[in-house]
Amino acid sequence: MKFKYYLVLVLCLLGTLNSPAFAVSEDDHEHHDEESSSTTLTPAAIADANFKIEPVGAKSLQFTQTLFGVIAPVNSYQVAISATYPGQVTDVRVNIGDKVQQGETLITIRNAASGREYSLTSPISGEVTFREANRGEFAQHQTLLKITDFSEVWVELSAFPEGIEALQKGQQARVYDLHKHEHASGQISYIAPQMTGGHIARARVQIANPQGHWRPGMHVKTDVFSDTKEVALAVARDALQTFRGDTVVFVQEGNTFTARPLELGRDDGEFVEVLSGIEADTPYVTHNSFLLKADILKAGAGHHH
Amino acid sequence: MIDALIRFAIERRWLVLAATLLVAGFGFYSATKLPIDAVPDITNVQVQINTETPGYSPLETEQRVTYIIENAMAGIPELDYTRSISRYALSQVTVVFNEGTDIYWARQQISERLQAIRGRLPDEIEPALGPIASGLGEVFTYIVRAEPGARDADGQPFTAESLRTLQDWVIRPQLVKVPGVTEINTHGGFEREYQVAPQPGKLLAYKLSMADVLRALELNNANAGAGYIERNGEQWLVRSPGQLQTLEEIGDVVVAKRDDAPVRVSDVANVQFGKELRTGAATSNGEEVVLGTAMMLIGENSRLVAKRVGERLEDVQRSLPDGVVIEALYDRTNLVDKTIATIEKNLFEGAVLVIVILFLLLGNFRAALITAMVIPLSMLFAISGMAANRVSGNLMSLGAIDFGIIVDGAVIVVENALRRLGLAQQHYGRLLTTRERLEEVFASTREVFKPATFGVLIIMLVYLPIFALTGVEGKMFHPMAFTVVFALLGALIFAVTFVPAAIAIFVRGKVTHQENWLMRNARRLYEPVLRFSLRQPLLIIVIGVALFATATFQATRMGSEFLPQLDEGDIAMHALRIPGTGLQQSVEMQIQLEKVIDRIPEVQRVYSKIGTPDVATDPMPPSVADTIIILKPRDEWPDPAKPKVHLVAEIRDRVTGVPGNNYEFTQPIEMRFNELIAGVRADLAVRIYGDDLAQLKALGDEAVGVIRQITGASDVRAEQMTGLPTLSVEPQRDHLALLGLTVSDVQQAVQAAIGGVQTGVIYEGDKRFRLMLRLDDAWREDISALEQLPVAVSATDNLDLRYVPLGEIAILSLDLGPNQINRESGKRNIIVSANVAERDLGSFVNDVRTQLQQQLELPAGYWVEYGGTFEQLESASQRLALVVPLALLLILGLLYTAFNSLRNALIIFTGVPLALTGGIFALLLRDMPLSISAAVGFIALSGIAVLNGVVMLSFIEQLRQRGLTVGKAIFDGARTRLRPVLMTALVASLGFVPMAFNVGTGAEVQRPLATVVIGGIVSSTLLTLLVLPALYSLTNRLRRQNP
Repeated sequence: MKFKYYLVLVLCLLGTLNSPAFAVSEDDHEHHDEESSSTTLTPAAIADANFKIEPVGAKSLQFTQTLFGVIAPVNSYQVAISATYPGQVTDVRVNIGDKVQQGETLITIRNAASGREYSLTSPISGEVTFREANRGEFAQHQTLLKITDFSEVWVELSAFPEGIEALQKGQQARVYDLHKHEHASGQISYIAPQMTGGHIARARVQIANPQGHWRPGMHVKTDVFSDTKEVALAVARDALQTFRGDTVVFVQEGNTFTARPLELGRDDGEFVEVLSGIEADTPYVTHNSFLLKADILKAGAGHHH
Repeated sequence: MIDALIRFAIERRWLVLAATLLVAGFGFYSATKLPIDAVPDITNVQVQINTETPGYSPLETEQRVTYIIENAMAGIPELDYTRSISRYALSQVTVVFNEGTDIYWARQQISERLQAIRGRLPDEIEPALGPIASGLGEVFTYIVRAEPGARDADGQPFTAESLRTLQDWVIRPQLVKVPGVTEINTHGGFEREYQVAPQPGKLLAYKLSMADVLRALELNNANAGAGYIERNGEQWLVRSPGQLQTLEEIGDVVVAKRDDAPVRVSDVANVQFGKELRTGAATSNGEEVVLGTAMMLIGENSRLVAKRVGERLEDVQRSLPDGVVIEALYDRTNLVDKTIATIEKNLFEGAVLVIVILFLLLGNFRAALITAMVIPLSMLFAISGMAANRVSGNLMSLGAIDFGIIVDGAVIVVENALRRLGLAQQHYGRLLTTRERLEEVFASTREVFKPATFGVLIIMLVYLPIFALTGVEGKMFHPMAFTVVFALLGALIFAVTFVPAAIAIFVRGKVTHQENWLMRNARRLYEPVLRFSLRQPLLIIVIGVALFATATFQATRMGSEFLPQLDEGDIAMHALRIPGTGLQQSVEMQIQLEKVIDRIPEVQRVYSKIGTPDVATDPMPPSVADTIIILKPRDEWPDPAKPKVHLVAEIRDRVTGVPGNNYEFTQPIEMRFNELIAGVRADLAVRIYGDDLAQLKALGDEAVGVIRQITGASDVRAEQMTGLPTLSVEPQRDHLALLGLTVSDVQQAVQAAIGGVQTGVIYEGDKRFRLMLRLDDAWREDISALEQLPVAVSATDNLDLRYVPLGEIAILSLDLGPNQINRESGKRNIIVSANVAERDLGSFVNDVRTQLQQQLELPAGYWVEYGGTFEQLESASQRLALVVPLALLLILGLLYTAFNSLRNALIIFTGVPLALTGGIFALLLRDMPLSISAAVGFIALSGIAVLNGVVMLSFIEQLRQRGLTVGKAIFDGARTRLRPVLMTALVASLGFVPMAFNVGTGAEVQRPLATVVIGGIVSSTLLTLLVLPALYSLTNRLRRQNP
């Protein structure tokens, strides 16, 4: 009898082992309200968090596009000199690299028909970049000299279809050499109406080249300021976080920070236009806003091994 | 046989003593061999296969690496199951073998299979087996840091990169040689990298592509040997050194020729020391550090290994540049020393208490000493047995031994011998001659041999069910059961050999039969009560039953916990952040957190491991940090008596104020066990297997919905599979085709820009570092920068069209991708876990099964499996339900053979419930939950209760055989046995008093156990003294009425 009794007891004990309370629950940490999109921090935590807070305000957005390009001589600043009448070259007064002034005599030629000597002068000021003429040679129609004016040069930019719509004549551009030693400014003066090779369109910027730093053939990088836009509301791009599928900023109200879903407009890389979702002068977190996202969503943070 | 044994022990008493000494000596020797650790090792037999997959996203890792490795493991002999995770840049397949499989053999099998699939893995991808370590492996942690203002040989301050280089090439090689260390793992810092960062604009200008640079670097960085020449009898070796060695040399490599001038790497690229794209970091006390962890080889002695590492570190320190310091943070020796101190304290206090009590009750100091000697002797005996069987010593196995119970057998023998000697001296009226003395000792031992042996055997038997536990529970409790059984065996052997021999030798003087006043008063108190109980046996029995019924009722309402938490002294805290948190962000948040923790007065040091270490023993994402909080010694606390639970609550309170983190508290070793065993710790885990990740997630969410509806469900959650922000660069095939580009052109450009491409190795003496081709960080900062990334168009006639921006030919989009892909036994799965509240697990699981079958529509190729703690509980209960009755039956059998009477056996059995009653009341009184530790206490109790019953009943029977009437025999017997019963009870319970109030290391195991035993002994003693005689007389009366 007693044996059975004991058995019952042991089974009772086993039964309690079997009871749910015996199980080790993995985590008992409190669950945030699933829908909550704000968090309140202690002043100490806010001080430690290194937030930067700025009011939402009007901004002038500047949209830029970076394009690679090559320096080329301005095509009207380049002249090819050839003989007016066929004849023998009697004198060549310049050599490659010489600077010449407009009207300066470059070559003298004896006209083969008339036997009279005439001289060719430079139609522009510039530099001799080509010479295929020596004394005694016979000049017919070939190019004898080329004079190029480097005081201004073209930047031949390759624009790709993706960004071409945004480009317009007259837009400001800033040109850098690849070492970023120098930069120059100019305007887009031309956009080719046709595509080269089906993929790129030529855009052109004319820049001054007083020191001769911009040598044709040089590869450059150009920021084209394609557009500016004055917007009434803009937020810093660094402030944005994706939060439950929305793009939000965190606005401050005392020690409480709330995620505010925004409808956004254009973006210039630094600031983003806000179409709706926030009012002017609302203080929002521009730096370290991830921390707030992390804090609100932290209940979902887990680690399964 | 028995007579011969006892006679031998007494006749050859000096020999027996010498043999005992020998056993003790062997025990001391074994103690030096015994692997001692703080907690039992509960790791299963597993091998990790870690594969680094640089740049691969979770999906690619799974598809190209994990799947292949995992499938290759299918069908390995002795395989239990495989599981895997695929993460960014890491594939980890864990192969779990059946218990008892030899780990080296298992690794051999895996190596063979890995060899076979080498060809099917992507190039440069090499699977590696994880270290041969168990959950106890992380025995030592240190950091490498620079003193403020310290400068290296070049006058530069030490950086995270230079400290890491020291760790990798100076410290680590010295430490891996320490015997018993299998791996030195590194967290944090940056591995040195030689970075060639091409500038896309310049490449365009020189009409070069990344591929050209890559080729140039590959072809200009090798040494060659060319045999030897003989010249004038001398042999000259020929070699042509061409390896690049410095940044300048790398910059000077010629890539191409343009206009007769060489274009060098430095013309088109920046050559610099780069920062690797690391997957882990480490911080300590609010600073980033380089952290090293020594992993102990499986089965080694952690205390010795940790000590050796600590000693070697001092040597290593001397080899470091001035100003660089290695600082030990975590040293397992401390914990093990504390454990040993606890055990020593228990041994000592137990012995002292036993001596005091025996002296008080017996009035004979020598006899008390002899009995107490059994404690260390049986302990040494147990240690020998443990060492021989590779059972590890730890808080569970050594800390939970009740020495009072162990000496019970010896107490009975000594008590009876003293009684007989005293009676004999009284009888002869003089001191006994040696012959007479030996004869008396023999007779007295003979008299109690059976009860003592049976009693101890029964206590051993009740421990047997523990061996039936499997899995984690088994690993936790087997060493303890083993130790106790061995100690009992030792005690039993000593009780019938050493004890009589020692009594024969040492108890020579006058033995007073006159009881001291303590016993006299006890007896004076006992006699009337005994008389009453014999007159009113029914009443006594009814009271007993009523008490028992109340206790049982209370027991069902008590809280319970399954596995005890062994206090490791230090705290480990997981700081969890949302998936997708960047490593740098995580480091910054961790630093904030550490500063807060560091301000708590009890904290000595805090350090954290963020993300995945160098050897991926613990593949955590960057959003998770293991924070280890090392506490000051208790006496340096503002309040040394503060319970640890309170401290943890305080810490939790403080860190909750730090935004952005979620926390889980555990302990360093426990954490490591969880990482390795990786079972789902929830009650129920529903595993949904299938192919499509999105589909799995949808099913998982659906299952969560279904389970939430079921009564009793709590904490229902699906594992988070997605949530990793992913930037997809999707090549547009049409556009590419028009340009003559291929998808791989685009991918290579992206790879080179972000992850980088390894082009070779740079040797600095013994050290070797990667030479990487990777664009400058600026290109990686932003999507719009990346859209501008020029992709070279090589096959073009059009001079204007030498490149296209990436944004032109690929769609860059941000979305959330899989965070981690889990597989088990070769199939993708998602786990939905749930706990159960206020409902029994079995019916809940059945409900979930039927509901899911009805409501969850599984597409073809998807299936569900059920697992979780309930499985373990179920199997444990099933085994126990079989083994416990079996053990009880065995005990009954033993009792039956001892008394040749089922009735007596059953009467003795009644001791068990009343003993349990006291235990339950004691737990209630101290507001403790029912735990396994308490259950072990109950087990021990049942043994003691039976032992007392046996002693009492066998004496009554002996008296009856001498012809006394039943009533007289009961009364005399009970009266005479008062002393041994009281003695065993007092010894067992008082021996446990220090443990019951312990707050130090090991307290959590000892307190419930001690509480149960103390409470139970009080009630069981009452039972033996009152209910048992009542029951005996009642059954006798009944028998006489119905013959």
